[in-house]
Amino acid sequence: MSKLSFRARALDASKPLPVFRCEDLPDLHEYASINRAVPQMPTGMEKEEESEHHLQRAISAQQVYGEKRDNMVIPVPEAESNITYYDSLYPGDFKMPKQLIHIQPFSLDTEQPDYDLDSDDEAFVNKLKKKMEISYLQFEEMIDRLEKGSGQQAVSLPEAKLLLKEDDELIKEVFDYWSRKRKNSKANSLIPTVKQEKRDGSSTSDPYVAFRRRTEKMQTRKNRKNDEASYEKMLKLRRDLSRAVTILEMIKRREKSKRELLHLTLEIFEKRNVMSDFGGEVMAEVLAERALVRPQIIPLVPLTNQYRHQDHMDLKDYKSKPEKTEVPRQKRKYEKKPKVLPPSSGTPHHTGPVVFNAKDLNQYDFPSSDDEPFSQLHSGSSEAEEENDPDGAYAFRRKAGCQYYAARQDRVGSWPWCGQWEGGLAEARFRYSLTTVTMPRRCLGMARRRVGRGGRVLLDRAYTDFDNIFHGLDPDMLDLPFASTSETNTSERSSSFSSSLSPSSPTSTDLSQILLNIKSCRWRHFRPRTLPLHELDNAHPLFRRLSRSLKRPLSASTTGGQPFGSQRPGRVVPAPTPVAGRCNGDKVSRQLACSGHMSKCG
Amino acid sequence: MTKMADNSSSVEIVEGCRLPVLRKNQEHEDEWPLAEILSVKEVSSRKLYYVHYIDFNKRLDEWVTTERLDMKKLQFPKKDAKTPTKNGLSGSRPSSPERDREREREREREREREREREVKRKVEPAPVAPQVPPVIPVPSLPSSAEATQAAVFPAVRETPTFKSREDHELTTNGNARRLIPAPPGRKRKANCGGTDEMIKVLQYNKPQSASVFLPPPEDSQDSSDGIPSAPRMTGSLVSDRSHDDIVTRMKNIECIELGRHRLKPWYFSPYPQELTSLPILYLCEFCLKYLKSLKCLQRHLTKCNLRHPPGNEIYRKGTISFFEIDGRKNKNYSQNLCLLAKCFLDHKTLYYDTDPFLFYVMTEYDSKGFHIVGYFSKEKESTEDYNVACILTLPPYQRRGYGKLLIEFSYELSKVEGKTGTPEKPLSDLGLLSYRSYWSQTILEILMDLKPDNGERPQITINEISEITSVKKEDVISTLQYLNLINYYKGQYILTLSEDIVEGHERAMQKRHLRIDPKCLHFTPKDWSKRGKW
Repeated sequence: MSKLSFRARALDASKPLPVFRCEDLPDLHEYASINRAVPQMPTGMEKEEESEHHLQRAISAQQVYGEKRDNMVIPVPEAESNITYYDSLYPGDFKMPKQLIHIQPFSLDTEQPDYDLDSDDEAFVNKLKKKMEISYLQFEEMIDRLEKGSGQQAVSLPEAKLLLKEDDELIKEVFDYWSRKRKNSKANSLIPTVKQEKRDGSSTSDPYVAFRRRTEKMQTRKNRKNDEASYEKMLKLRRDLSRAVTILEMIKRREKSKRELLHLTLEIFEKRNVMSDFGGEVMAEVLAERALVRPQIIPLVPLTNQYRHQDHMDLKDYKSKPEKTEVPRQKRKYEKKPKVLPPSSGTPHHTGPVVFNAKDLNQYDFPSSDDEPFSQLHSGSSEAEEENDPDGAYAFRRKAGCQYYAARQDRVGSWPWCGQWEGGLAEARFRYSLTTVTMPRRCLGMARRRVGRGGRVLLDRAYTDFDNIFHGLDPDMLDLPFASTSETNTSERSSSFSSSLSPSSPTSTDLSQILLNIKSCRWRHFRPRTLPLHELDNAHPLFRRLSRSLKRPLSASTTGGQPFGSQRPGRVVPAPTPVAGRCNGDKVSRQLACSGHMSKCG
Repeated sequence: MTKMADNSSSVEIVEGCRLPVLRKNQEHEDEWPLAEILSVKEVSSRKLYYVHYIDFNKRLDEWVTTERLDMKKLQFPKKDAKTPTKNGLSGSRPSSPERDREREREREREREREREREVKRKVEPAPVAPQVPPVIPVPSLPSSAEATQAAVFPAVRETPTFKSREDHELTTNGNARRLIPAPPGRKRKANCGGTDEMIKVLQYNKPQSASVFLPPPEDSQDSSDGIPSAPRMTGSLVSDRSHDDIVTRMKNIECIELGRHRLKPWYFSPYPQELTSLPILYLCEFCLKYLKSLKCLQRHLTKCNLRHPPGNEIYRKGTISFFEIDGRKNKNYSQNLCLLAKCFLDHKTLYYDTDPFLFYVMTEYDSKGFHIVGYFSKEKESTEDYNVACILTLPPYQRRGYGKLLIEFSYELSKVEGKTGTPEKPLSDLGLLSYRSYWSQTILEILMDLKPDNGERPQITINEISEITSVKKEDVISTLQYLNLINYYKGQYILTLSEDIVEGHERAMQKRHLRIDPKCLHFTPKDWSKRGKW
């Protein structure tokens, strides 16, 4: 009854097999016959060798005794281990290193000759030693060179003289000896080497040819992933190479421009010499003129590496996306520049013909090749750049020609907007004043300016009882009739709006009072236009003109949706929602804008 | 036996002839197994014959003098089989239909004799007829042992050998095998070595012991017309029988001196041809460079400062170390190692360069340096789960547990890699024995350590065994079968451990002193697919 179906199920490798001791299963033999169902696995040997006498004997012996018996093992040809001269042959002084041995690549490539002197050679060299100077090693080196210099055809004596460095007499002796020995030798070379395959493929079946190179590629079926990866690598390589080509082209262009600049500078110098402009007066005049054309609004544009020198560029033409159009413009700017000369020459040098002082030279300090000025010109890099660099366009970057000092402890806090008790200058224009921003055009109320890190202009706002009224003020009204006689670049000035109360403003008494105050210059009114930086104050006349021209494109565009970094120069950009933190009545500082640039002040 | 020398001059013995040849067996006795003449040469006007003893491994082939030939039983090559030529490919290969028939008849006779013997011995179940060719004086088996044996190894393994062999020839590689006659002596009769062919004469000789493993090559897949073609480029073992010509059938190096050892090569190795005529080929013990004379070796040693294999030591415990050598980066050493190894590995191929292989050389340290004991090679990327290509313990170190150590190490590497592996096929005789023994011990170690959980019978899946040991599933199954542990019992498969198995295992483990300590292994597998090809 126990012998069930003859056919057992297939053995399942993932099914647990209970492990029994035979003595626990006395009835096991009844089932033995069914074991046939387990398929016999191949041994993995060549079939014809499997039946070899000694193997079968060993297997059966193992099965009988559970282990091999000495007389049942597979016999093999003998080996001896009693070489008497062994100890004298190999030195016995090798100490085991404490660390695991790690071999350096190429450390094995010694310069030792592959040829080894034999007894005949020894006799020959010893004889030769009587006549001239030669060592065994030297002899081996010579033979080694001769052998390696010879292909199928042995080298000739003149060739040998070229190969060997020794004097001719020695070469002659060794060469003769070598030629004789080689002729008598059956082998092709005196340095025994394993036969190489022949190019013509005739050696496929020569049993003495070994270690042929594998000509075909191994199957890559298993390594498709690898193929993909290498394809991507190739793509990247191609991209990199084409980038390198572009960079080289740009460098070429830059160097051309530099040469041109040099010529122009020389020309200017000669012209000035002819004009006898030794004091630099003419120069200064020209510069002032040119300043009208070429504003120095560095801070207005996001300053990134590749635009380090864009201060020479026409702002109107500036495009936020650096494209190829940029290239010709660069040329233009360089052409323009020589006329311009030191931009800082707003403070003209009065000391003789100082056309090139160190500072001026720096102006021409174009990005050198190491500066990687164009590294970001190519697509794809900008997004990555932003990720790595949260400050984006506003990250601090050193500017060529500027010296940067560490902040001085004793001077910390002595800002123009700080009160005297804080060591500051308490300049009037940094006091709280009525403030209007341009985008959206509205009056914020009381606020004061200060310059924050990286030249950003911060507005601290203060809560007053009049805030409601201030917000109701019509900015245009405040804006109206400026004679613009004020001394500063900001519009902190007596605003004279005589008329025009905003009709909507309800609390008319207060409002009119305020307007009056403003008008009568008792209240200062700040309306940012351009840079609030005193450094640029002297460039003032231009400034207004410029700021007006700038205002146009700015206010026209609805910049709301654009990413900040790529935006048009964000001069004093207003807070989008002005009311964010007004609750406490205290001055709530809000970072409003970010266009300052302090590099000029070093 | 009478000496044939005098008569021999009258009959010309040519390649392909078969006749009994005198040789000494391990019991210090002379015997006269049937042999085939593979080559004839004359040295100082004496004729020497290179003989292959049929159904003995090629490593026992040798040059013999006329005195050792039994001319009375000389069989000439069959008419249809041409005499073997120097470039092989033709000769006395069997496989012609009539030859097969003849062989069949011979086997039949053999089996009959076998049965008679069995009956005489009164052993109950007729065991393993063709597999255990009745060896010479079957060492008097304690009859009890034999009886138990019979139970443990039932007749399952009996006839199929025969069958499968025939099938194999007809189907799998029928093309190749049948159209191209195998080279002389390659085919063996299943059962020669019958009593009538083995004439015993008392003699003494030292028994030789062995324990090398040579994983030999894939079965032939060569072109059917015998035109030599390049072998496949993966793996390390010969797959192409067309190269197995008469030259490579014969040992070409008489003796190799390596360090303090003199080795007698077992097989052909393509050392430079001009060195094959030397009585002794000298190798530098550390860089394995081959030199034609002792003088050259001495000179070489003044220039060679290696005292260990030129690779990174990735394992050291006590005096045993393993060095890893990249076949691409260190071609000289790799090639020298392969040339040496080929002397002891029949199916190893040196057709292609060593680039796709890593070589793991096991050394033993003494004050002279790290002496090579054995090695195995391994494909950097194996498409077939091979974790060993060739594996060899040098003859002086054989039968001392080093082979198992090498195998154990190869599986430790696989464990680190998180893969299962198997040696490249075909295995040699010694390779099969060693691997089976390692697998058996490894698997039994696990089975015996299994503890019953919650009073339940302990159980384990084949996949689990494979994962723990890194031994490929197929090898686990074949080992379980070989040990006869798998039984079908009451509707399910179970594993059974007999007392014999348990005792045998415990005895064997007591003798196994050399073990790999995984803690001493400093090995990080590299992803070769990501590197440059080989």
